[in-house]
Amino acid sequence: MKVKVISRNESDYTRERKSDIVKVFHNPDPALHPFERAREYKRALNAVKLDKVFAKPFARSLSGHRDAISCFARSKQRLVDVASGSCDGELRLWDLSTGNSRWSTIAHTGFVRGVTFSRDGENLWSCGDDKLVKMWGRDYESEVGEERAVEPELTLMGQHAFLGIDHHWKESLIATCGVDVHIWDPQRSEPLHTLSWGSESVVSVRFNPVEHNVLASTASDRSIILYDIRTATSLRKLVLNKRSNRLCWNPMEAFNFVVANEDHNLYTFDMRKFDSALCVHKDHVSAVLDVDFAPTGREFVSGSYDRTVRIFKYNAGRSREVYHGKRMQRIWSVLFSGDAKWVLSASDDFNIRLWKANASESVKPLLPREQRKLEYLDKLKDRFKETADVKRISRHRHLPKAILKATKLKGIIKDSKKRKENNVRKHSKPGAVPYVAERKKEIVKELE
Amino acid sequence: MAKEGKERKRKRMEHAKVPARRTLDDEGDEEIRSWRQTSGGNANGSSKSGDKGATKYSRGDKNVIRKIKDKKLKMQIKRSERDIREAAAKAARAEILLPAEAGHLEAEGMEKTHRFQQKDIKQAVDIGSSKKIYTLRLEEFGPYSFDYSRSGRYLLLGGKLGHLAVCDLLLGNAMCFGTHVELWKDALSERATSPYMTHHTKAKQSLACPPPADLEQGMRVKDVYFRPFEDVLGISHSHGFSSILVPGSGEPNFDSFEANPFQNKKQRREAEIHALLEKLDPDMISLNPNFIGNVDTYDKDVIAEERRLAREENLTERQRQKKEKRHARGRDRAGKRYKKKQFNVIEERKEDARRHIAGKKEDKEDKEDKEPVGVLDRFRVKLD
Repeated sequence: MKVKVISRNESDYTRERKSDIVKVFHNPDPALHPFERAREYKRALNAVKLDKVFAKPFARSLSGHRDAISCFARSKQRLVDVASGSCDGELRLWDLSTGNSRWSTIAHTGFVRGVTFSRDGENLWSCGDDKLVKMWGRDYESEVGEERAVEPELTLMGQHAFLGIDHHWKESLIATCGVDVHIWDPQRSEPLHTLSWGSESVVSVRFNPVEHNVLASTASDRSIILYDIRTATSLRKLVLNKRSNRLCWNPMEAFNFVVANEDHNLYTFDMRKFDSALCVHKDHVSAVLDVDFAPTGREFVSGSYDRTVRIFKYNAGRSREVYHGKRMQRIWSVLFSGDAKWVLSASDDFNIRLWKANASESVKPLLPREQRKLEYLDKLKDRFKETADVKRISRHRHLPKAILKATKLKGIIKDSKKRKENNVRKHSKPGAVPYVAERKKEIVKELE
Repeated sequence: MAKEGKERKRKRMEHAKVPARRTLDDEGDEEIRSWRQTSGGNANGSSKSGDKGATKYSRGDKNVIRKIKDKKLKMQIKRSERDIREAAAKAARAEILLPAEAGHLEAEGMEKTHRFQQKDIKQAVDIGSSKKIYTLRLEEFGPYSFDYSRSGRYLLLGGKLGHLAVCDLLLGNAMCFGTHVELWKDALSERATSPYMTHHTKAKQSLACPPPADLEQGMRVKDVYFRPFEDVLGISHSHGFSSILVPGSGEPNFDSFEANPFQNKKQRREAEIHALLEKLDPDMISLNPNFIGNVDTYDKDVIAEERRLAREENLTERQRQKKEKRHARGRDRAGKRYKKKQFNVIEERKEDARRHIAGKKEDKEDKEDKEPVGVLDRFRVKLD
């Protein structure tokens, strides 16, 4: 007779001392997990509810400016360095870890229109209404709030007021925009190149982070223009129905960029194919003034005249998150932090606000087990995201009444237009009123 | 207000058939099978070709990818199918890491397994296991009903005449026993100073110590249950309760987060909280609990009808909440609005009055029918 029965030694299954970790045994056999799917659904539902409970996105406010904040930049080297310029000409360098400004100075007469860090993060460039471009050192031994006359390390003089500035990703070159786009070499007092393509004023300019010599600008004649600074020529021009206020390249798919448009939407374009947008990002109810990509390239943040900040996935038509505050005014500028965990917004109310990129995420470092649990719950939330309750709870966001009303009104207007178009189509010759894709509707023309 | 549409849908989904997952029959399946064969254990994937044991870790039919036209969706489903397949393969592969193996009983030579007595088995197994063969002599208040807890650690015995006992089988002692049952309501609140209900029987006896013994002839068996995660069969009979060894009957590997025989106090508390958090909603308890998360492939018209009902319910509720709109600016007085409203209110009194008037009218008409009125009728002589 051969016999063997299940026989367990208790010490193999329990811990010896209280300080030991509790022994855990898994058996994935489905027979041991009755009602598995129903229970996991319940877990997913609880998880989305808890997300709502823990959603406390506002971290802190960085106050100090005495006028509306007009521009923003983060260092490409240090996570904590952020510079901001305001409408009274003040320039401030912030330390995000403490929330204090490290130094401040009256940099320009009139607005500071643009600010950017040099590629090594040691210098700061600013431009303003006073036709000057100035370079500042990062480290000044000045007390917080002290009004010391900090001197610029370099000043370049232009012919006209500037509206924006950007630093080259590899070389020490500066691009400014205003009446034209200028490329500056800090060693020279005159611009290296002047680039223009029939526009009155260029409102934003951005170097491509991968193809370093490609430059994109948006102008008040509703155009988006690409340039090559090696040949100092313009490459392509795209005209939309309304003006694009700001442009931002996707840092991971650097042939794609997104523009913040005056028509309440954002548009993602492929620089190689201008005949259609890749995606139209809707949700704002007023002009979008600024946009910034997370370094991961998976998300971007946008700020609008409707006093809300929204976070979009790079390929999603609707925002995944909206932030607003009772006292928060028009957003002029937004920024994603270098670690993609924080979002900054600068508004008319003289404040810079620091938000979490994921509203319910914990700020403290997580234990590995906590981390694993959250990953598991994320997976469950994803699996059951289409079920009615999970969808409803996870999508719901509280909105100020004005924005809610505006959203509804926009819906009514859209429906009415559609109805009218359909009626026209019905009473026209077949094919006379063609269907135009949403992604092509706003494109007026493309020039080479 | 009962949501009729929702209710209907629930009932429908509850009775919907969910097809069992098709067996995996591609290369991934081969892999699972080969691993399972090497891992041995209680995995029933040891034998024939076309073995279905590999599907132990699969959870239903595969999705049909071929017909999907949406490229993005197609890719997503393809990827998720691959993940499911890999998860099943990995689970099968990880079987060799499970700490315990199933028991077995084999006959050698001329032996027959059904001839083996418990005393033979007892001699052949280790001391710990041999202690699992015992009989509780409980003749006075029997016959007894019994049940094991989900983890197999606790045994509950209940005699027909009111004797109750809970035994901890791991420690081998009776946790509590007696003839007195108290039911407490809101036991944790301060107000509860006495039990909600009590049940008392006159019997007085403690549990007998477990004598080792085999089943005797001529006993009447009442209940039979296998003990979870052990090779043990519990039998309650006319003489009390017996526990015998049945090699190979139990699942050797438990899952700590489902049912843990070695659970400590803290783990038990955690588990209770989690069980409460994950308690299923009443409308999810059904014959087929897997309906949640399935795509509703029912008849389109039925789904549309359900949606319409739900919408109507919402609409009426919303209309009820809606404030009355004020038209006719300036001429709109509260009194007028009230009157207007009252116009359509159906009251019993009003209805009576209406009926009364209608009745009168009818009478009149009847009369008129009988006696047609002409111009010269007034000069007619009444004949009475």
